[in-house]
Amino acid sequence: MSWAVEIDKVSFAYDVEPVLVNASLRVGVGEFVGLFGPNGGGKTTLTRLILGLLQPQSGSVRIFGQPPAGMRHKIGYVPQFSTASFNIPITVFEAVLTGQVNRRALPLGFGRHWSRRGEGAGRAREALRMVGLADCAERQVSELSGGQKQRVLIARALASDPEILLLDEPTASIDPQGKFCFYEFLAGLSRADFENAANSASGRGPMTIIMVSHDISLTTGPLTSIATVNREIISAPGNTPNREMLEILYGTHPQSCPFDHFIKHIPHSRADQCEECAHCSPPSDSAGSGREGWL
Amino acid sequence: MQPDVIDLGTVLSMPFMQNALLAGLLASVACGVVGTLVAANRMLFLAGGVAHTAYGGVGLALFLGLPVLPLTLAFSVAAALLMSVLSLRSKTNNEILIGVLWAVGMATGIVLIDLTPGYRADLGTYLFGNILAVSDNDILLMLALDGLVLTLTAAGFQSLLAFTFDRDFAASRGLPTNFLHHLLVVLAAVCVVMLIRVVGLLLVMALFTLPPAVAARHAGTFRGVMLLAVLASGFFCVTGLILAAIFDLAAGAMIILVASTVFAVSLLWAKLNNLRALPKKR
Repeated sequence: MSWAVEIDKVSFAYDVEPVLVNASLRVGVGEFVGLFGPNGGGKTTLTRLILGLLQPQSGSVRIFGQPPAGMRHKIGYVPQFSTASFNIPITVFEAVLTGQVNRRALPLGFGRHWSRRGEGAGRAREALRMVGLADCAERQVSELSGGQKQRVLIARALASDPEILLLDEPTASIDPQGKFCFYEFLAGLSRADFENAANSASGRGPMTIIMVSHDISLTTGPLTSIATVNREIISAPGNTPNREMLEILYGTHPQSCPFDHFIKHIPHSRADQCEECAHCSPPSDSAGSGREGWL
Repeated sequence: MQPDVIDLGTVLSMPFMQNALLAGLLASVACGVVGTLVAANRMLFLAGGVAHTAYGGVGLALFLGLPVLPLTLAFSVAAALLMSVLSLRSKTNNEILIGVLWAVGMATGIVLIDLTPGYRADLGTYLFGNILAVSDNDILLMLALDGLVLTLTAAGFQSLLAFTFDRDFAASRGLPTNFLHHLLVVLAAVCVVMLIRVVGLLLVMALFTLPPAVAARHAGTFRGVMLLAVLASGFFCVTGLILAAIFDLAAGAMIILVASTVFAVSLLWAKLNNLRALPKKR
């Protein structure tokens, strides 16, 4: 398998306290990875490392085998909802066009990144169509609902025709019912892109999606693999978290707590090497398989 | 009996008045454009700090006996860069540092003017503006600064729009967001210097906020708000200056009162329209 993202033994600290220690993760081309973890566990730091906005103190990050700084044009980034100023006067179409900003125009950000009639504008319209906002192109972003604003941010990321879509807490502004639709929608993007790529013979692989969230209710769905981040990364194929992941996400609980009972009944990923698991639950053949809809 | 009231024709024929009106219009061009960017980026406190620190530059120029506007420009740009760098440092409480520089800049200016031998002009000249003091050289400097501001904002417009809408995303695309942040603060410093003669240092904030605030209610695109803010600011300056001359009142203060009246009326108008649009209660 060729790798879209390779994070190899990365350690990072803003100050003295390390945020990530010896963290490794590999994401194959076309995968749909859910990256979960508690608040403060290093999720956003990890996205900034992938974008090349931060440099690891040790270890390496590679995007399609290259250092991230030169590969930004291949990544469509959907930052946390709260970073955008939705109240400034800007139309939906303009906001999506800003997705085509890149540093190649001229030094220091001067120069034009897009034109309203060029090829880029066509891509922006296509991105709006993909997220179902084609009819809202000329409306003010400030007039949209929270979910629609979130889709503007995704369209903006898609407008640069990315090979990797990197989303940071994309469901924070979407209500619980909407989350599942949103999830299917993301998986659909991946498939649509794959079909386009196959048809156009452009030689590009399917779109890789990396989604960062603290909300593990998303792990039922079309994820190809999940990982948890809390100073280190634990990853496993399939869309169900194993016991180490749940312990990271929900902590260890006292025996009196029903959640302790629940977690104890989920085997560790390497149950054959764990005495405790041998007692309390049958070892599963592989972590994460066959437990659809675990919640 | 109103001995101080002069008619409009006399006002417009006064030689200093033409320079004053020209200065107001030239300052409006830069302020409408930069004020819109500063307000949308929530950098008003930073801009306020830059405006007041500029007084240190005024004091230094008078103390050294050098031309006030060029030296204040150099001083303000340097102070703006310092504040801009400090404002990006997340580890410190940057508002406190900006507040400190704000006060230190003003205090330095006051002390330097006290130390200036033989200087007896009152502080109000620079704090509240003095339309009598606009020289032909000032006009030329303002013209050049307008050219600079317009060239930079036009050339960087798309980057500035992306930056204003979402700084994190702009950084992820490789845009030099720190540079753009510094650029905006420096442009704010340029505007401050242009406004010293017209409304004075203390009232700069009003022309950074009121024209964009009025414009944002009536334009849908960023470019539109900038253009409308320039026109609104020009209207406020011309109307305020003429009223000030007719009634012999402080020009800077009259400009602000005209601007805030228009803003209040536009708010009320919108409220009334909203009420009218509501379905009637049965």
